[in-house]
Amino acid sequence: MIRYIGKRLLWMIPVMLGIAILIFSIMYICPGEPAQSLLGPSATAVELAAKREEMGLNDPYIVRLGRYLYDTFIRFDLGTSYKFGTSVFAGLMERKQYTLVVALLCMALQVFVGTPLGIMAATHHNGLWDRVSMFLALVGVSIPAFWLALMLVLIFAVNLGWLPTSGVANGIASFILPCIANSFAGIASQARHTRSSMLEVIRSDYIVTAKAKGLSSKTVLFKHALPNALIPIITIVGNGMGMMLGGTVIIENVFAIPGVGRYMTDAITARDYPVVMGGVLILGLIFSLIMLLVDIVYAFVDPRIKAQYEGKKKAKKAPDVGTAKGGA
Amino acid sequence: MANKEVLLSVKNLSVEYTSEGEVIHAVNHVSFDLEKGKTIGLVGETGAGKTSIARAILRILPEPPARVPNGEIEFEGKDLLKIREEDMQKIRGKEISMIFQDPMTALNPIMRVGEQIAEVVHLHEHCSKHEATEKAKKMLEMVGIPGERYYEYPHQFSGGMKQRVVIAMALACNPTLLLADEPTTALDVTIQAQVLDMINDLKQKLNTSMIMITHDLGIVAEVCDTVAVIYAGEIMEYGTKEQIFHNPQYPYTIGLFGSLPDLNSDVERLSPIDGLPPNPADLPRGCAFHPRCPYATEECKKEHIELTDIGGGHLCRCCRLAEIAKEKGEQK
Amino acid sequence: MQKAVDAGIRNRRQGQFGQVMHRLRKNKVAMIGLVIMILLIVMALLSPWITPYDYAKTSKAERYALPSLQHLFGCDGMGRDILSRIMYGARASLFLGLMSTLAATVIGVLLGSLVGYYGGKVDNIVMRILDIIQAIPGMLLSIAISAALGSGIGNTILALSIGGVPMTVRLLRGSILTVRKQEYIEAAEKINCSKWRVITSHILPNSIAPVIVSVTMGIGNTILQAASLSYIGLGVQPPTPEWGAMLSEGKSMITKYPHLCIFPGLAIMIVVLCLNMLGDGLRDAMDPKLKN
Repeated sequence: MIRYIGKRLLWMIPVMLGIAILIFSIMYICPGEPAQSLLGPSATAVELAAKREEMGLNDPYIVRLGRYLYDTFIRFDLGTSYKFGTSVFAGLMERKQYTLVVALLCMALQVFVGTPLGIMAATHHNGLWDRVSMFLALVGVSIPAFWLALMLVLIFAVNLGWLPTSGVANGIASFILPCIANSFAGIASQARHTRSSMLEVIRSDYIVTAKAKGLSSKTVLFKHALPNALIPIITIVGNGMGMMLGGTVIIENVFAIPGVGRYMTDAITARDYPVVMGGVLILGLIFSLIMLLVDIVYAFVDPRIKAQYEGKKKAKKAPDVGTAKGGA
Repeated sequence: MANKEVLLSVKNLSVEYTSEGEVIHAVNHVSFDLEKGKTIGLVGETGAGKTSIARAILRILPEPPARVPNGEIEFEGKDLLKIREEDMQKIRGKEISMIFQDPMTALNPIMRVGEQIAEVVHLHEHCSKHEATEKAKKMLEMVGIPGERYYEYPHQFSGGMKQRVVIAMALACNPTLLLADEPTTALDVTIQAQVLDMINDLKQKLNTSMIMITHDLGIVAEVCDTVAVIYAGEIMEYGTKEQIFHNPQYPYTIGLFGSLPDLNSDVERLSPIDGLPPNPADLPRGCAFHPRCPYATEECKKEHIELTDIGGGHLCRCCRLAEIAKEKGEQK
Repeated sequence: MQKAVDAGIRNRRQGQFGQVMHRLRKNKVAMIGLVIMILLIVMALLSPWITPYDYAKTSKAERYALPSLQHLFGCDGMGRDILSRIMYGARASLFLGLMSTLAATVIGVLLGSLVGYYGGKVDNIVMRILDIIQAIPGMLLSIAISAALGSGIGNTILALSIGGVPMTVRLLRGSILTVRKQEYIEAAEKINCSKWRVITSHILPNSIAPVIVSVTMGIGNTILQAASLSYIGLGVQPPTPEWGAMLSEGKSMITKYPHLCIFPGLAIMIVVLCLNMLGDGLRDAMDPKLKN
């Protein structure tokens, strides 16, 4: 197991390098002129040429890429913001907590609201509750998050005045609307997936076996059906996190939350590429770490996958392997 | 054979499934008795409704789409179709248990094999977790699996071993009635014999009654006392093993024996039963077997035919018995 | 009996596709989605001729006009009729969604069948590259590409489709790997079918079902992403009417004139909802086990 985690951690290195190369290449082909953005429209041609030379913009692609990777991964220097003239790394660090708070709260809402809704729909299959909640979930995955955000602001902040319209000055109250707007689709999709996974598992032969043992329907549901149904859901949760991270970029924009997403969208309008690149890199890193966590959780809950990683040699003839680990 | 006590009495049992607006009559007015310590074989093709009978007895039919519109299942003086679900739970796994057809999917893939056996012991014998574990290990050993494999998961077991686990699970609480649903169909022939021997041994040791569901007449010959031949959800012929094997009367039963290879007589080809089983959503009028029956006449298509005793408790649902007997006599 | 046999023969003649369509036709929700979608597409195609006003016609007098009989959805900050803009904007939104998904699917199916069938080194390299692309959340990737390339329909399609490729490849590859192991593929290879023929007439038809379902569901999601891009100032930009861009224009005045935002958002929601209804129906029709 430890070897597996180690392997997965090592695999993060090429992934991060790959993201950096990808992002650098995307920005390399872009038509903008960084020297111009930095000096402003009043700069003369001579000034521009000097700035270009100073920034190394005249070097070939491979040299610039090498320099970018060296700066990023060895010196942890993500460059300087064209707009603010400050370190991008520092800029991201002072903003990251807002984004993380929103993403993690949304994540929690998705898991702890969406899963029970899905279970309830599955256990009342074809009943009124199932139909109503699944219709709501269908609407949920169809609503644009930023529009929902605007509507929530209109109702709860502007008309009712219960919650702040934007900013982060009001502590937790400031995060209620952004989190609801950003996680609504996630909750809906989690409920839909949980339901269909539950329905598939409930039809399995081993559920009939469990019932034939004389277990109560509650025990059958929670001890036998649910753990099996949740296994495929773990991936959905991980992917949901990706959606949340992408969504925060938009939501921070709507609610003026000074997080990484707001930093990035402002940078896009100002053609402040180092900030965009740094933002994508840092959010990609967070997402990769979460997917790593998902894979580890996966291996822990599903003995079939766990066995693949525990070495093929001892898998067959070591009955006590499992006792030490998952037994308690 | 002193004890002639009836353990289970199924009367007039029907099971229907509803699928896309169609009603499928899987089991139609089935009645039979089972004595303590005896084994009845339910024989028939795939889809004849055998499994539905067993599941109806244990009340584990998938509802909906399944429904039991009429019938009584009397077990130790109680009608299992009428008692409360909580009381039924006390009977499932303890008094009546079931061996499932497909061992590959019958076990929970993310639960330790031993725990799945210990679970049923712990539930019904009201013992400590530790005692349940010990009992489960003993059960594993009884079916020929080393006790230390208790902690493994189903995916580490072969098909035959999984079926042994399923059997151990079914027998863990010494049930009075065992429902064996094609327990050997998914297994290799060599393992089939082992598993069958094992079930037979255990049954004798624990004096368990059994309903053996199978399409394999060889298995019937080996383990059953009485036989019910099921076709399109109905019992077509019913009798002791000797009556059915030595003197099959119903054309379908005769056909079943005709499609078996016989070492004693030298025939060029086996004689299979022509045609396919009827669509259970749209059963033929009259005798359900008439479209495939070589002896069928207009009379068979007219109305439903009743089971009649043709001597010594041998029941048969056919109106052309005299003609068939004559023809058989001529052949000989 | 005869009826059942006839039905059986009909089913066999219709083939898999016919059965799926038959089941889909019986699904009311999916049919509602399909009908509304067709109406919306027709509306989008005919919009230059059927909109009540010219979508670009400004009018000082009617700036921020509230919904009324003359202007059902009211007017925007430049006095342009919102209903007309929404009708015309359906072109951009639907076109973006359909084209991006189509592009992602074509690339995904080509790559997916390649890696699924050949496996080995090709598989390894392609899948590792896709791993990297997938390590960036889809929305973020689209934002980055869109930011680099600039706004415009073509660039937005490119930005949106790249994010969709890995999913399609993965789905198809997984499905092909299962199909590949079936005996009929070996049989086809043994009778010397060309590789192209094995892929196109034996493997693909048997493994494409999950892709079709995911594509249908994907169109809705892509439309949402396209609207999000336009909303933050990427994607399609004014003066071309597009629903996301209309929301972006209206948001600053939302407290005073909520109608600027309500209607374009509803339009997006209805389109995506219909696509999802259709997608759900298609999934159920292709895999009837999951129903009931």
